Amino acid sequence: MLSYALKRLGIAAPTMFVVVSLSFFLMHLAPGGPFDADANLEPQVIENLKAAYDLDKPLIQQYAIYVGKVFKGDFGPSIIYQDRTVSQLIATGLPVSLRVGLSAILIAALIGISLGITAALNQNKPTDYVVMAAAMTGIAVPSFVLAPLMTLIFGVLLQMLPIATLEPSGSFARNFPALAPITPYILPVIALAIPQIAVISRLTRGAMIEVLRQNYIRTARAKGLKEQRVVWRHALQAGLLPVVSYLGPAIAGIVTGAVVVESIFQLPGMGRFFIQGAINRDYPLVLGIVIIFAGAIIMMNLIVDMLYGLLDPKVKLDA
Amino acid sequence: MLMFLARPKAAMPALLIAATLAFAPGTAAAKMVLNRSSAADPDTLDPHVSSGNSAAIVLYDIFQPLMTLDDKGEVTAGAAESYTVSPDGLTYTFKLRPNLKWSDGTPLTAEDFVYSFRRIQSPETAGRYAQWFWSVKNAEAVNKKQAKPEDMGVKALDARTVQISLATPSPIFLEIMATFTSSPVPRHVVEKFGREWTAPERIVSNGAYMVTERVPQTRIKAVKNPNFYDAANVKIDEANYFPTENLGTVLNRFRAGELDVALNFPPDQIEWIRQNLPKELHIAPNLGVYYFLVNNTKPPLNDPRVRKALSMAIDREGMVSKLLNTGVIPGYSLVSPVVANYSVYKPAYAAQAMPARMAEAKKLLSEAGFGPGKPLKITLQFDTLEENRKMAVAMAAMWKPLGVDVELANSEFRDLTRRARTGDYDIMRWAYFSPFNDASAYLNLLRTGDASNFSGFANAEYDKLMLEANTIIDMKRRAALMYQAEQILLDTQAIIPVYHYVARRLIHTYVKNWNDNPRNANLTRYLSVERPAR
Repeated sequence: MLSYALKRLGIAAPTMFVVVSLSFFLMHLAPGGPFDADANLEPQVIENLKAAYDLDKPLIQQYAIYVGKVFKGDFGPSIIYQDRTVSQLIATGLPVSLRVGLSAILIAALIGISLGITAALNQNKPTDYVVMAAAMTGIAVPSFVLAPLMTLIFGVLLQMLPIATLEPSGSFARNFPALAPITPYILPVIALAIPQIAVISRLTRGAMIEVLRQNYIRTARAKGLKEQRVVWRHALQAGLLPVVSYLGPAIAGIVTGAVVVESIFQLPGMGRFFIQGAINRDYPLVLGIVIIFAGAIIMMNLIVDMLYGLLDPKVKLDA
Repeated sequence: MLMFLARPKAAMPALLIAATLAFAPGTAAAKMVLNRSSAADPDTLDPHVSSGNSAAIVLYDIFQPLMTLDDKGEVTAGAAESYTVSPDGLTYTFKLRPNLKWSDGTPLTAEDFVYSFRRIQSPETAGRYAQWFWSVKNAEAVNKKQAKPEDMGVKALDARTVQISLATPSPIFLEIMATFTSSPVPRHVVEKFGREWTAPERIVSNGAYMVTERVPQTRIKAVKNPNFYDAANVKIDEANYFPTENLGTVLNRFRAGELDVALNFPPDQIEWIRQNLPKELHIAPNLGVYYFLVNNTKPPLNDPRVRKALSMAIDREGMVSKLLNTGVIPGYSLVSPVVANYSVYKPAYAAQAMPARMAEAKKLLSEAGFGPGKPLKITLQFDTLEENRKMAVAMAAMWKPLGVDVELANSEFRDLTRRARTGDYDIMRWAYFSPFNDASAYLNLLRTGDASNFSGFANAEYDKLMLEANTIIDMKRRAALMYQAEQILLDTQAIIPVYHYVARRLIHTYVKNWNDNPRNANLTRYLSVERPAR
């Protein structure tokens, strides 16, 4: 297992290099530069600005400078947020994204898997239909509809939760002072979790129904095993495989790219930096986030593959 | 009490504290806080470097240049208590207020201003608006590395006197001295920390407020600066600025009471707001103009008759009331009608009814050789924003009766800028927001050879008028010169103005002394919050 993990991490380094190089040149291919939005600048001023960020040098030289810096762990200064470095921005954005994203995924996994199992065990019964109808709605309603609706109901009309402030406010915080510090995160986490609950419950239901029809489950039941043990020990382990493979990239995505939810709730996460950086051609900022994103995906895929080895006896990692 | 009497020495302080806590009106709980939204996260809090788009609101609160803005947005004395101008208009002498201090208590002297004006021009600073100061002797040369910063016409006569020498008289010099870019920066902090001197734990400023916290994309917190010379009259203790680009969130936060001042809201909600928040809604003209750039150098739009026909066919009043419905003002001039010391030129057709205008427009087009047999074909460029798309479609519809064949082309704003700079377009949606409450800022854009002259308009008479207007101190004659210039511009329809922008604000009624003004400047130091108990 360890040698497998090391081997995978060995491949990760060149992958990252390719990702960085491709992103660098793709970013510079996009029309316009970071200082083109301000049309009324003097040519001299633009020249000074370009010189300040090495943008006056040939592209290949800029690339060499950038890669050299990245190897030293320096992502450079941000071009739009001129008094901050990319590392500083990531250092403030990543913890927020991690906290909100991981909470949402955890909640979504717990609820989604439970709902999926419930639906599978009650296949084609009313419970199944209700759960799946709810799941379809969760998938169909996009977060840019759901999130503003939640702020309107819980923030404006009921005055229960803060809409987009980092300070606790609203009746919920007053009634449950112990939970006050988390109030700013409740709505965003729910908004992120709902679509995930929907997907996870559907995946779980599908996989469980498939597994419950397998011969080894019939054997287990024929041996007289308790239904609980059949479901929780034998069926679930195999039924979770598709969910696990979905969760890997989903975690990476939700942590780095919850753009819509972040902008509606004004969360200082990574997603908004990514979008702002791309729109404003902030090359170092976008590249910095791409590196984090690529790293997260590589890590999550590795973790998923190793979990497969644990969950599925047919998978041998050292083979 | 008995115990206090028995041990008077120990009891006195305790008694005092108890009395203070019980009776003082201004305890911590009664702190006056203002929560205001800003457009986006400020690019930087360095006033010399910032583009100001979203930082200006913070910079005006935390820094104070020699001149500043009063509670109605008019230029008034700032860090300087007074100034004198030499009769030839070339020498400005500013006298600083006594005992000025930075927010860390360090004395603020004339030398700080000298350092700051040099820093703005230094090429390494890469200041966006260095060009504003190029009327100062040698400023342009310093920015272009042709002179040393010490050669600039700025010097400290003594600790409280700053003297600035100009190469040419500049009628808007005091306007420039009131912009956030003219703010002094603390040399002792800037030189110690370099580009990152504006981090909240380091930044030192000289305005009514000082930044204490900065959460990227979420909040900037500033508290009252005890070392500000007028701190006694600053009522609000703490100001929070929330960068909120999602307008739906702005409206919801305003309604929930999380924001006291909302700078913008979703335009499609305006009817609902008019019905439900009439007292909170503020619509006030500002210094922005929405217009169409027309390529004056490329057929078929190099013919003034064609440009004029296109402009005449636009039903601005109908469009503004039916299509946009956001309070904007129909526009026939480049200069905003609210600009100070100037009244705009309106072409004669502005007063004509639409049918008469259409007839004349058709005539102009056929004179230029376009008609049923040979329709005018143009491409209209616009960028991705719902309002711009609506406008482009409306334009095409209004020009259709003239037999004009319009191709709509949508691209990113950066691509629009590139096309503007390289002249790669026929006609293009454009906008300008003047940083100064002065007509010259608009009209200078169309001078021959100006970096911002994207229309290719070139007229020697126009250039002569503007050259004089830019260097004359007689404001009356100056207004007349600029009026003539605008007349030349609009009679040849070098650009096609469509409407003048308004600021759309939501202000809770408990925010006092909010005065709408064309500059959209409402410094926190003049406001107060008398929030009802919730």
